[in-house]
Order: sequence, then structure tokens, then C-alpha cells
Amino acid sequence: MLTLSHFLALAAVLFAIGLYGALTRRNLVAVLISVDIMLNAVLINLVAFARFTDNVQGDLLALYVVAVIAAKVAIGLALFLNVFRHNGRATVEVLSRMKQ
Amino acid sequence: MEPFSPSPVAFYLIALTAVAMAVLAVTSSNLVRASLALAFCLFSLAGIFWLLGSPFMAALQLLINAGAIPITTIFMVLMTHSRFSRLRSPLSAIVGLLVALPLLGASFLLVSRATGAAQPTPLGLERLGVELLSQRGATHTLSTGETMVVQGGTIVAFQVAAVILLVALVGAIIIAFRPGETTLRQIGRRGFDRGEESPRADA
Repeated sequence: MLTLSHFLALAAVLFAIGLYGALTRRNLVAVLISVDIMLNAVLINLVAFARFTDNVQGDLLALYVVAVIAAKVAIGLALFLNVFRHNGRATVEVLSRMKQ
Repeated sequence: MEPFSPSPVAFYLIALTAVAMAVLAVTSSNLVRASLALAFCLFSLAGIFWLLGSPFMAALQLLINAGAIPITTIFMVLMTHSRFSRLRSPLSAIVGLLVALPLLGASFLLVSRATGAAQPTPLGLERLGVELLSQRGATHTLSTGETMVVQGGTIVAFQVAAVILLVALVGAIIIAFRPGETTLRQIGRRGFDRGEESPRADA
């Protein structure tokens, strides 16, 4: 018998995995992969809450989150490409030097 | 529609696949492999949406998150010459665990107290479409004959999302475009068209 807590627990595990990756990875593309996993954990939360309370607004919000994920990946590709052209590599150290 | 009972066996199999692939995606030092693991992870999450009774969300997950996103990620890996990635520093794994594990524990405490219906209610495609593309408070007669009142009514947000996607597309082209250069130079292969080796080693 599956309850709401099962789905929320899966989302929490995925979010923690994504957070670990976003904090530890050096390469910007690897950080983006980790953020993707975190965003998909949020999607599970939205759909699970919507379906277990039969409230359609959670599903609608999930659709818009998918649109934002697609926009984020497109902009991320362009930005990381520019970082790579200017510095020869796309890592987080390159971006943290920008504040000096 | 009537509530239904999702299969626990399917849930645990899908959840195990998703978590294992997510761990591979954030720990593998080979980023092409990590992108593939991300694709498998997002692919299995489509099954979770199906189990929750949201078939449109499952289809969207297959099309966009399991199809387009990993392919774009592989583009990024190859175009920025970042086939391999290391940890930020030897200490960062400990820092990451110190942040992620307490968050996981706190989430489990809250998750165990979550209240909802005993079973999920599936969402029909027709109802979702009407909610997405109508104004709030409008009434609509479904093909089954029953009348529904629109609760979501996000037609304006739908248009805004379309504009956001267009702006992201045009913005990505403007950010990445370098005028007056050959295609190979656009992706960073300087000197390639003069017959020289690419000076950039893999990062």
C-alpha cells in the first residue's frame, strides 16, 4: 500500500543526492546535471501532492517547472560555452575568480 | 475519476533504479557516463508519474526531461571539452555529505508526518487540458457529459511560459554567437582551419 510519504521520501533522497553533487563537483556541466536531479525531485513532490489531494494546480505548476528546466538548460549551454572560450575550461574555480 | 492503488513492487523497482542512476550521475568522473545515468534516472521518473496517475506528466517527462535534456547535456560535455570531472577539493566530499545528510534526515522527519488521501486520484488528459487553457471560473462540459468548473485556469501563465522558452532560445543564440568566425571556431577549435592541432587540452 503506497502512501504520499513513499513518493515524498523518494523525492527527498533524490534532492539530497543532487545537493551533494552540486556542492562537490568541479565541472560546471556536472553541477548542472546535479541541479537537474534536484529539480526533478521537486517535480515528483508537486505531482505527488497534487494527485494525493486531487488538486489540479500542482500538476499545472509542474508543467511550468518543466518549461523552466528546458530554458535553464538552453541558457546554461550558451553560458558554459562562453566560459570555456574565455578560460579554456568550464569549472567552478573560473567562475569564483570573477568576484576578484 | 476514481482513486486507484499503485503497485508497490513497480514503485520500489523504479525508485531503486532512479536512486542508483542519480548516485552514478553525481559521482561518476566520466561526464558522458554521468549524462547517460541522468537520462536513465529521468526516464525512470516518468514511471513514477505514471504510477501517480498523471499520464501527461509521464509523457512530458519522456519527451523533454528524459529525451532533450540529457542530449543537450552531452552537447555541453563535448563542446566544453569536459569529458572528465573531479571533486572540487579532497574535503568537498565531506562538506557535501555534512550538508546533504542532515537535510535528508530533516526531510524524512517531515515526510513521515505528511497527510493526504489514502490513494492517488488520476488526472484525465481532457480535464488537464481544460484547466491549462481556460480562465479560472469558466464552466466546461467534458466529453463524458459531466460539467466541470475550471480551478486552475492558467492560460496567461501558459502564454508567458511560451515567451520564456522563446526568450531562452534567442538569448542562448545571442550569448553563444561570435560573429565573423567559421563554424569550427564557434565551438572553440582555434587554429583548426589553418591545419594546426587544437591548442586546448581536455580540461
